[in-house]
Amino acid sequence: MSRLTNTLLWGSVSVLGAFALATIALHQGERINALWMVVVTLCVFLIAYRFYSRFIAQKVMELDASRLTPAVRLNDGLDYVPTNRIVLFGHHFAAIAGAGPLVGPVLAAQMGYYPGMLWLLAGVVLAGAVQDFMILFLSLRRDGKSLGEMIKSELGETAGLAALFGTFMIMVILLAVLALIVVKALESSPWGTFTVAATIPIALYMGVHLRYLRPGRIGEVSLLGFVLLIAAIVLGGQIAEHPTLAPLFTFNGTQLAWMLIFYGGVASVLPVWLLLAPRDYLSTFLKIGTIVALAVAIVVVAPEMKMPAITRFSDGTGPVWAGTLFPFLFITIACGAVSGFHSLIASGTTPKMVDNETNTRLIGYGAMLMESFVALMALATAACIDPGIYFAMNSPLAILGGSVDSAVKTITEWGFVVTPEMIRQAAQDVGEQTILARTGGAPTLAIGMAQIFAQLLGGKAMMGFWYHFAILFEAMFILTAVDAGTRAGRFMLQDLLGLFHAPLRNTASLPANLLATVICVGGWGYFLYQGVTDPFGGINTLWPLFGIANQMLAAVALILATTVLFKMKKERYVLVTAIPMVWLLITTFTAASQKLFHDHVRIGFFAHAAKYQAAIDTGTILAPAKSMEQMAQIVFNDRIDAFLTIFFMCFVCIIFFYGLRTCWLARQAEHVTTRETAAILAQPASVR
Amino acid sequence: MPAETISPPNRVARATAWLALLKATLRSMIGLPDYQVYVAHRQQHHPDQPILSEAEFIRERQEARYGNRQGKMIRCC
Repeated sequence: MSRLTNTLLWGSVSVLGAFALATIALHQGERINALWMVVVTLCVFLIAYRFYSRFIAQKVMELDASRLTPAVRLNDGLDYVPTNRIVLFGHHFAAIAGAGPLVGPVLAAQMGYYPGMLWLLAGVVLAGAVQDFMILFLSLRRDGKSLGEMIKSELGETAGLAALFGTFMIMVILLAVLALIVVKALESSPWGTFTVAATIPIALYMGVHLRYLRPGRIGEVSLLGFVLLIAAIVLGGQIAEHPTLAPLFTFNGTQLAWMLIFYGGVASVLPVWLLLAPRDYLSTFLKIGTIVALAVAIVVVAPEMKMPAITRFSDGTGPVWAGTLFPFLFITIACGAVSGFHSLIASGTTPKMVDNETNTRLIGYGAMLMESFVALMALATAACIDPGIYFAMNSPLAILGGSVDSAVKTITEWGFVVTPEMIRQAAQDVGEQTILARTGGAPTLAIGMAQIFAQLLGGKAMMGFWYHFAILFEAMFILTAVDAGTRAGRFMLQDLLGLFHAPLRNTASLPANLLATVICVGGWGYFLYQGVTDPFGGINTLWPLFGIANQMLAAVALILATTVLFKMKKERYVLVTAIPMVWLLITTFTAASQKLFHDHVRIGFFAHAAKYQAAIDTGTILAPAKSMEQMAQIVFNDRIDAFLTIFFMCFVCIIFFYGLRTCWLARQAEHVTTRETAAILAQPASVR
Repeated sequence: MPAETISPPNRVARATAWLALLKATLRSMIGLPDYQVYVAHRQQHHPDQPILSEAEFIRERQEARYGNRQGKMIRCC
């Protein structure tokens, strides 16, 4: 392409993006079309990919097409396989995109779509995609080492140990919050519960089919599973209307929590081919298919966004989660903007499959842009729902009161138009008894998707189907994550316990396995149970904890990246990773200290504990507690949450300290001190 | 890209190449590398050693992905 056409092309992309952004900015107070958001997103991402990621690839990393990748050097046809970059992009994207980018933006929509949109765009371009790209690059240059191993080798033993502990605790919170989302979606919903329960026998059958009946036929078995799933959704609709069968599948939150805890424990010790693998196949394909369908539907339907651009709740009084825009918006939307968990994926299987160093730009930076696009679509979908319905679904019962009428009264006082008929109609449309207080993102997104899909196919009659399809699709990959996460957590824990008592590390020993499983399930189960019984809906407590933890892990990954840049003697480019690192440290530490010490009981753990403790001292019982024991339990829960927050802060401080020290030493050193695998260059003849 | 590496003589071959790429992408999303590539690699570099059948290959890959001996995450949040 000639220089002129190139300039013209990128000039027009910039102008179009600026125009779309201006349209959104200047029409606040009016309803605008969701397509504007899509246009802004595409333009920003194209420009960021074309210019910023190229700058990082060429100047910061100096990617070298002739340097042999681990996949080429260590090729074994199994783990290390040079893979076509498009195929690998699919692999990496499927691994990073989970429930997170669909939930966070939906919760953040309580402040309006505008703050969330700006943070998603800026966050991914300057922080999230940079982190993924850097960690993939670092791991690639170290034979595919994991994040923990790299921290250990670059920052030292103590930092490595802290990383191991920190990651395990983050995993526990992640699993609890994911399980809580499922509970909130299935509470007193026989249709949803039946369909999600049906995935278990379907997956078991698929497992047996794939192993014994027709080994290797993955396409066939996945298609079969998909057909059975659709049948389960249709059947679920019948069951929900059946007078004797419906009660069999109607459970309250506590019952569902215990079932999930039991399920997590059992599923994680079953052979992997039986339940985990087949369901992972189904959930992966369903997830990719649904994401593509949602993107197409938004473009075709071009829905209007009904949520105001900025609502009054940016002042911190929001019902869904409490706290002001800074810092809480930036931890509520983690996945999609910047997600620390990606650093575990980017240093997992992907670096072992890269066929050429220069392809890490597409895979590391590009796949994260794609995930952010999914998050922005989730945000747009949530913004297309009537705000009155949105707040009815996402505010906790403690704020709404128990009935539709009290909910309408509260929401009307906030200045949103809603009537009891609207709320009842919305529930009836999707075949549910109630939609009140279904905090957690999944049901809200499901309503939004049902409304958009129904305009595309099936109209109102199909809304119930689409709603439960969306619930099923989220619940499925959350259950897969619970199963796989419990297994991963068990091994991490065995590694840690092995430090104190060596035999516990033996993963072949049944007692050691069971002990680690029980501790792991007990850990997330405790937080899940606490969340389910919380009058403010649990999400209010657990989601910020998870957001803080996830962003802190991102900060840790960026500390590693910054340190390595110093070691590579690349300090002139250090701002690329240092700016997002400092930003994440500021937001997470501000948020964490507010969660600890804020005087508002919905924000500060200690304030909440003090309120209940004061009531205990005077002998009064505050809702939701019904006895003195429950009062004491609430105070204890608050202290555990506070302890966990302090633990996370210490974990980051330790790694930050070792990072600073290593940067200082690297600056003193006269030459490069990084610990890369020695470069082996391709023979000139084989350079492509 | 298959279009470059295979240089298809006609449209059918081009479509087949894209289908193969799509299939490989879907399989890699669930952690299954290409079986033929594995066989070719074993034949070329380890001709004296046994080669897993396709069913055994899938089992081995499932165990490696989900059995999780290193406590690694296969999925993100």
